[in-house]
Amino acid sequence: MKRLLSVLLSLLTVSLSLVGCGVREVGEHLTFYCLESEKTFYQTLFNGYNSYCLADDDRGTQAQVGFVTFENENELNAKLSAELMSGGGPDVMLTGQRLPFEKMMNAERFADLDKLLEEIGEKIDLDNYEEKVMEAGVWNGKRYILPVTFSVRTIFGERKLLKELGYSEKAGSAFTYSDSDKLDSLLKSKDGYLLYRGGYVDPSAMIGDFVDFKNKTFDFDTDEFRNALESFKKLSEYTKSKTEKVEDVYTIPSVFTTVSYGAMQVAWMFCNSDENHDGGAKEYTVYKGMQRKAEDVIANVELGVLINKNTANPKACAHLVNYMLSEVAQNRFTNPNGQSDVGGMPVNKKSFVRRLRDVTEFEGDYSFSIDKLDPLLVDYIDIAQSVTACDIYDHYSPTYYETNVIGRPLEKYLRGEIGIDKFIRQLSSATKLYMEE
Amino acid sequence: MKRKTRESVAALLFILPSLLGIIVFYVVPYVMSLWRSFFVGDSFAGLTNYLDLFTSYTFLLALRNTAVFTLTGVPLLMVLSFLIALFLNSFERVAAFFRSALLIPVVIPVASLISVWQVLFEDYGAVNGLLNSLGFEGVEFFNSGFSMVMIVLIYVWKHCGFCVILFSAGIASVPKSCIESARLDGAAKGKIVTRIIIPSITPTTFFVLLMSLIYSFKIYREVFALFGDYPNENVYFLQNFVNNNYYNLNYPRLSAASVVLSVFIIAVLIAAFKLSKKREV
Repeated sequence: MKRLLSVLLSLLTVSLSLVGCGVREVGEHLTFYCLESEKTFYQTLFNGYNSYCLADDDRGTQAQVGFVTFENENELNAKLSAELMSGGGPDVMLTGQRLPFEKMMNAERFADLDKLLEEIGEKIDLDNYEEKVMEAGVWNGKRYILPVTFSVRTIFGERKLLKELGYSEKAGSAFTYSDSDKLDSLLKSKDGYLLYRGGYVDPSAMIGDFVDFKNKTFDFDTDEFRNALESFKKLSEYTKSKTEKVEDVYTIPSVFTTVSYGAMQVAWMFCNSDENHDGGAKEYTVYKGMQRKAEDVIANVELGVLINKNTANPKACAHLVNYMLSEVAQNRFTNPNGQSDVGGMPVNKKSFVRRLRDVTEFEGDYSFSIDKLDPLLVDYIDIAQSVTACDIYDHYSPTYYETNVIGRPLEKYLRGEIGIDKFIRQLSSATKLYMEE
Repeated sequence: MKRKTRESVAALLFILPSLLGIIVFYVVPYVMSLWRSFFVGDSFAGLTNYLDLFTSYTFLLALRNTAVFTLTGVPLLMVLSFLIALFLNSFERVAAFFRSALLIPVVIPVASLISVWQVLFEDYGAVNGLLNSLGFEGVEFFNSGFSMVMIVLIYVWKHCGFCVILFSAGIASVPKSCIESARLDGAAKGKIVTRIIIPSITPTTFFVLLMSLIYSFKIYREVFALFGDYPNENVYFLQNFVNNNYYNLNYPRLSAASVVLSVFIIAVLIAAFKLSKKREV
């Protein structure tokens, strides 16, 4: 009897331990994984869509996006990895999440959005969207990423300070990585100023510009890269020395400011007076950059949507994609009052024009004249309308490659623990391994 | 039901929970992984993943480094620990102290162990300081061909003590009468070792080989602590490849690599078993 009892107890223990191993079924709604701390932001993002779902029986609550939250990034990534591997995982992912998207696209982890839209009899009419930005979502001939909003890489220089420093490049000219001499001279000539404020001075983002993940190549063994790296290191040290004892960095005048927003927010910040940003439109000049080639206009996807290939509900996902492409959704994401959900400019051309009109409070239809806009905004739009290339990342949030692959050697280099030669060797080795794995 | 049958059934029932655990957590995932290794995305791809794997630069690099490490580290560890055990068995008075001292690296946490090696061999470490003071140029021990040497040394240093203990126990169990008889017959020390001690401790040698192989597959912890996820190409092992593909969510390749890695480990272990059986005969 004793023996039988112990056997039964053991069996019960094993059975109970297996209770958690459920099978993924068609859920009540689409799922999106995020950190608990980010939930509010993403809720705002998907609120509009969830309301839109309720307006149509075909979509209903099943097409709404629900949240699965995690305490920390490690927990999220572990869960994500395990679930994706077992054929599950969230239905919806966004480019702002720190995942190795280039590797995942190579492994065909995402649904081809063109095919997905066929589920509901829709298709993307590319004439209605910003061409180069939409192209960024195509990988190995399949459209895996849907860019919803984008920004162009620009730097805003304060005219008064630029004049003092003798920097006289005209608006729209480029600030390239090769301009390290200019950078150095500006750095040395004006003590007490910050050269930059904003996200674009991050060396890891600069390094990312020298890597082509689609063609699996990188240009670390060039003078251009070496000079850029040294400049960024000096800049990093300079900024640190100027800011480490200051409580509020905004009290230090900054020659250049980089913003991660699109035209609408730019207009709101620089063209309209704002108590947080002293000075009006006339005090700023917009430049392209930082970038590698002067002739390029680089765009960055601010919000991009990806759909898990394992999704149990492709039809609902297709509704989400369709909504994201719509003018309604894109207007919502690019609210011109500076308090938008996402930021950036809409890829939907109609929405783009509408938002510009809203910014300038121009009365009229879509055929308004651009000349009536503020000069700074005109310069910015000139840049934004001639995009030559687009990156799938937003250029200011650290990517998986920047943190997990090159983060460790870069940190050592910036701390001065290793020299530039050794760093470039480590960087090349890690990048090569990452791309080839 | 006969008593013997009843006992067998009871024994089987006792084994069942563990067996279920092994089936659910090891066998089923392994079979699933094997199955997934024939797919890219949702489409059946046959042997494509395996063909890709064997033309992949990183996989071949990892395979080569793992083979180099196993083929140098394991024999070196075994020979060195056998020689030390032999030496200690000849000097029983000091043997206890040295055996304990050799065990210290086994109980030291990986992080502390790595710190010691970094203090010694980093670019501005003690060894390079010494080299510089003698007028030689410093060596990048952790970022050159020396990296593999460093990893082999760490592996030998860390596990030598345990293997010495095992070998010492094995040598101590060799009948003293056999050794004495051989000595009386005029056998040289070398002959005693090769003709009497080594054949007599075959089971111990096999066990040490097995443990050394298992430890060699666990060296990833030290490699990770020293170099992170992406080490230099000299110390990029199969475990790095598998681990990184897991985090990169590249499952077709991960599944194929895991199957190949498991086949590699099973093949090495079968070879070791065969060798042991042959020696026993």
